[in-house]
Order: sequence, then structure tokens, then C-alpha cells
Amino acid sequence: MTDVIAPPSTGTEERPQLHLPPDAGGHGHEHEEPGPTGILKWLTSTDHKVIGLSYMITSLVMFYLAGIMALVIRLQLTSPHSSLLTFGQYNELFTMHGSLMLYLFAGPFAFGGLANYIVPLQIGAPDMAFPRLNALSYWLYLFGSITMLMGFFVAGGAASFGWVSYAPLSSGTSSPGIGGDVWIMALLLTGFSAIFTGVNLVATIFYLRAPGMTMFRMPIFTWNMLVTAMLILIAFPVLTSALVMLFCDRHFGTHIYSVAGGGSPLLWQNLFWFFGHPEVYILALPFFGIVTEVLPVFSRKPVFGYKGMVFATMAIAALSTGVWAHHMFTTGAVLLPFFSILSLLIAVPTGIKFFNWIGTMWHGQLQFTAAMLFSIGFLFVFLVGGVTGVMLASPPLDFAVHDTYFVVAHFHNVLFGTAVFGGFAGIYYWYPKMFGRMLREGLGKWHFWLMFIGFWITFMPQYVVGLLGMPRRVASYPSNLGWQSYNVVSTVGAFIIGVSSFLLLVNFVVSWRNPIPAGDNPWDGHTLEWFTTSPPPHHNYTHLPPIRSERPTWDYNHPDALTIPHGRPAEAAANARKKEPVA
Amino acid sequence: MKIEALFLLFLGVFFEIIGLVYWFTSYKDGGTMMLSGTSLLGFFPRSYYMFWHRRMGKRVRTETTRPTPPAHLSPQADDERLAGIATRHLP
Repeated sequence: MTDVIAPPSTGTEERPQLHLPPDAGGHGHEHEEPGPTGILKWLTSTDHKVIGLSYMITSLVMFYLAGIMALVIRLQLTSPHSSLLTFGQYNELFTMHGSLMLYLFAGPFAFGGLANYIVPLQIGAPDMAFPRLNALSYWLYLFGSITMLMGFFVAGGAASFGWVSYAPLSSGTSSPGIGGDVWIMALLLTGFSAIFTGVNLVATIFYLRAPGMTMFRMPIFTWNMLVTAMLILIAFPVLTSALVMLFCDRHFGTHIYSVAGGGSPLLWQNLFWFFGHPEVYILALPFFGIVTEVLPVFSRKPVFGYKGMVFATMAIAALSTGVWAHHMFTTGAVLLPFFSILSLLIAVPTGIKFFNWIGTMWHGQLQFTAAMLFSIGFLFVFLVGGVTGVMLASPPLDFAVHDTYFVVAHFHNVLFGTAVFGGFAGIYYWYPKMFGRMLREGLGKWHFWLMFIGFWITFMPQYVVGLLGMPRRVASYPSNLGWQSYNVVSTVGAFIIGVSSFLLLVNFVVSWRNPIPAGDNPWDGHTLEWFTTSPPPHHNYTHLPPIRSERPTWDYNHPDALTIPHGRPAEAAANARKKEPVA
Repeated sequence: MKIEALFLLFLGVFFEIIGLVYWFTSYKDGGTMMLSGTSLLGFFPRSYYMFWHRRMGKRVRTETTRPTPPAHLSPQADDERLAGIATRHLP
């Protein structure tokens, strides 16, 4: 049983060494992971930290590969009739760009990587509930990723029917190559990986919380991962079964999605989007959680409206499962008012979250670290994505801009805002915990500003060109419609994003070659993971602080802090400070 | 396990209501089936957790000797001492 220890008399202290601490967490050679070291450790480990890092490294590789594909796509579109790519190659590239970013980067980075690493630490658990299932999840994901990339090397090339794989375009007649089959197999593998991870996260959070870590003391990131895991368990089995049926249509003579045989192509759309829309929130909610961890720490305040955040997350998740057909407004086969109203309702809990994030920063002592900048950048980028989402939830507007670049810009605002800005916030925030060394803040700020500016240069012209009528998924376009200048600007922005992403790699190298020791708690963090050493020892903790609020590490480091009930006006807090000044 | 079970109950009830609303507004059986199936994903594990909750007793809590305050805004928030060592490495 893990011991609970009394708080010390001093607060945060500078620790000069990489491998440290005399008092916190407990980390000695006797607690080192037993078993193989080096490459064998990475191949055989069931430690959630090793598996989490493996996930993050693999998914970042996918991010950079998909980013390179995006740059080639943008280069093709700088000229109306570019010959850089054939139409077939272009179709393959946008299909694989979307598939890699959504299936192999954004999701696995969050619920496979960060959740694996951080959730057990945040709830005081020694590992995930099912460590071997956890390892299996990673290997399924890795081989699923490799399988998908192998599509480029098979006869006929990679899948070219878009990441949504609409029937009948994905049928054996329209897309006969092996690439489509490889794509289906890859998604089946990564789908099972996600389902196993979801099961593991739910079991871990329900059963392995430390003494005192009640549900409503869990960090918001852990809450968001719990809700995400539930969404995974709802959505991914639907995708898996839909893919099996698609494979049967392609190879075993069934006609499930084929009109000719009495099937229905719209069935695919219904099944896919019953997975696909929750998938958007499977990708978004973990990054909401990251931002909700970062903002309070760098505002020097607790999170504003903790329970509101939790209930808003649940509401977003629940509503997201009932709005699948808003992607199908133009099919004419769905009930427009029902799906429009439910889609519009999602703006309410999302708005609650936004006000809570602003409330968290309000009157705080803001520190503009790279993690904080990326979190604030997320707020701006995601806000525009949310507002344009409300526009698209209205059927008349959706009919006008459906399948244009307006939609492309909208979902990049949503997904780039969450997965990329939120993801980088998480990297800058938790990297010191994972490696015991700091990333360079200067490089991080360059990274942020270039990415933030590059983002708007890339995607604002796409809104305009979408309103002008440019359809998505086209490799060429008429030269007399005035679309080219917007596309050129968009391409310039994309390359600025590319340069900014390269700076993260530089930062990793600099940090690795010239480490700055991070200490256990470099940000004066609130949650439990900052109590243990950096990096954490095998099985994470030998001691735990008393857990009496959602900020146990902060409580432990500040035992003399004057307490003011949450939710009181700022003036009350200021008056209380005057009455009882800090020594 | 009570909170966990309530969480799943919320899931089941929400999708049951949405499923009923969907059925009586659209009369489409496909979507209704998917929503009803999702509600079962809430009800089934919820039943198990409630069953388990009645047998496992209360979990260990650390605040038994002292009341639990919520998280607080601290007057020390602007204290330089608390800024952590990372700020010394900022450019």
C-alpha cells in the first residue's frame, strides 16, 4: 500500500541535479525498472510511461509525414493546372494526409500517448489496469500505421477515396486496387488498438485511483480522458463493423453498400458518421484537458468552474453522439431540424468551457511560457472553428458551402486548433516531467508565433476561396475565377507552419545535447504528477501527499496558504490578502 | 463506485431520451437503433457498477480527520518565490 506523508515546511525549491529529490515522490535505484534495458526495454516493456512515449514518438512521426504530404498538396494548388502531381497521386495524397493526421496522429497522440503517460500519474496509480493489453494496443497501432503507409508501395498505389471512404467510391469497382484493402486493414488494427486503450483507461480511472482521489478531485485532463474513452467505446466498434462490411462488399460479393444489389450507399455514411462525429470530439476533448491543465498553472490560480468543466465535457460528448447526420444534410435523406438543433446545442457546453478558461486567466498572474502561448493560441483558433461550426450546423448555410474549401478551413480550425496547438501545449508542459530537462523557451516561442501566424495565413484565404465556390479535393481549377492568388497565399502560410514545426525538432535536439535540469516541479504545478520525480520512477510513487482537493501537489507545497472559498468575487480575495499578508 | 455508476446512468438515460425524440420526429429505425444501442452501453455497465458498489464498501479517503476545502485562490499567487525554477530559464 502506498504511504501518505505529511507536508514539509518549505515550498518549491530549486534542485540542481537531473536525478534528484530527497523528499518528494521517492526515487532510488531500488525502484528502477527491473528487466532489460536499451532497445529490448522499448520492445518488451509494459510500463505505461514507456508505452506512452512510444505512442507519442510514433504519432509525431505520422504528424511530420502527413505535414509533408500537406505541403505537396499546397504546392500542387499554387497553379490552376499544375503538373507536379497526377490526379491519381493527388487523390492518394489528400486521402493519406487526412488518414494519417486523424487516425494515426491526433487520436493516438492524445489517448495513446499523453493519456497513457499522464493519467496513471495524475490519479496516483502505479500503472494502467491492464499493462499487457496496453502494450498490445501500442503494437497494433504501430503495425496499423506501417500497414497504412505500405499502401504507397502496392500495385495501384495507396487508397484514394478520401479519409471518409464514401460508398460507392470505395467499392471494389470504383477503387479496385490493393491500396483500399490495405487502408481498411490498417484502420481495423488501429481501431482495435483504440478500443483496447479505451477499456484500459476506463478500468484504470475507475479502479486504480489513490486514496483520497475521489471522482471530483480528479484533474480535468483525467476527466476528459475518461469521457474520451467512453466515446471511443461507443464510436470505434461502429467503424470496425462498417469496415468489415466494406471489405465484404469489395471481396466476398455482398452488396451492403451497393444499390445494384439492394444495398444502400447511405448506410455507409450513417455508420461512418456515427463514428466520425464522436471521433472529432475523441480528438478534441483530450486537448481541451491539456489546455485546462496549462491555463491554471500559468495563471497561478485554480481552474475556474471545475464542476462546470466536467459537466460541460460530458454534455459535449453526449451531444456529439447524436449529431452524426449533420454531415449528411445535402443527401436529402436526414431529418434536418433534429440534427441542426442538436448540433447548435453543442455550442452551449463549449461556450461554458470558453468562459471557464477565460475565468481561469482572469486576474491571474499570467506567465507567457511556450505552453501557455500554445494554450492561448488554441483558444483563438478553436473559437473560429466553433463559430464556423455553428454556421455549418444551419442547413441553409451548409447547403451553400458544402464540399467547398470553407469546410476545409473550418475543420482545420477545429482540429489544428485542438490537436496541434493543444498538443504542443502538452509537449512543452509535460516534457520536463517526462525527461527531467527543459525545452528551450525561446525556441518554443518562435515555434508558437510562426505557427500561429502561418496558421491564419494558410486558412483564412481558404474561407474566402470556399465562399467563392472552390470545391475541395480537386487537383486543378479554372484559371479565370480569381482563386489562384488565395491559393498562393495559403501555400506560403503552409510553409511557414512547416518551418515552425521544424523548430520543435531543433528544440528536442538542443534539449538533448545541452540539458537544463527541470527538477520535479518546474512550473509549480497543481496536480499529482508534479509530486513525483522527473522522470518518474518505475511504478511512479513510493509516497503520496494527502489528497484533499483537485490540487494535491499545490496544497502540499503551500501548507500555509490562506484559503478562500472557490467562486468568491476577486474583491473578496483582495480584501483577504490585505487582512492576512504573506510573510 | 456510485459516482461512476451515475455517470453511466446519465449516458444511458440521455441516449434513451434522444432515441425516443429521434423516433417520434423521424420514424427512421436505423438511427433509433444506433441511439438505443448506445443507451445500453450506459445501462449495462451501470448495472454492474451498482451491483459492485453495494458489495465493495467505502474507499479509503484521506480527509476523515479534517474537512475537505475546495481548491482555493491563494494570496501567495503573486509571490515570486512560488514561480518555480523554470522561469529562471526564460529568455
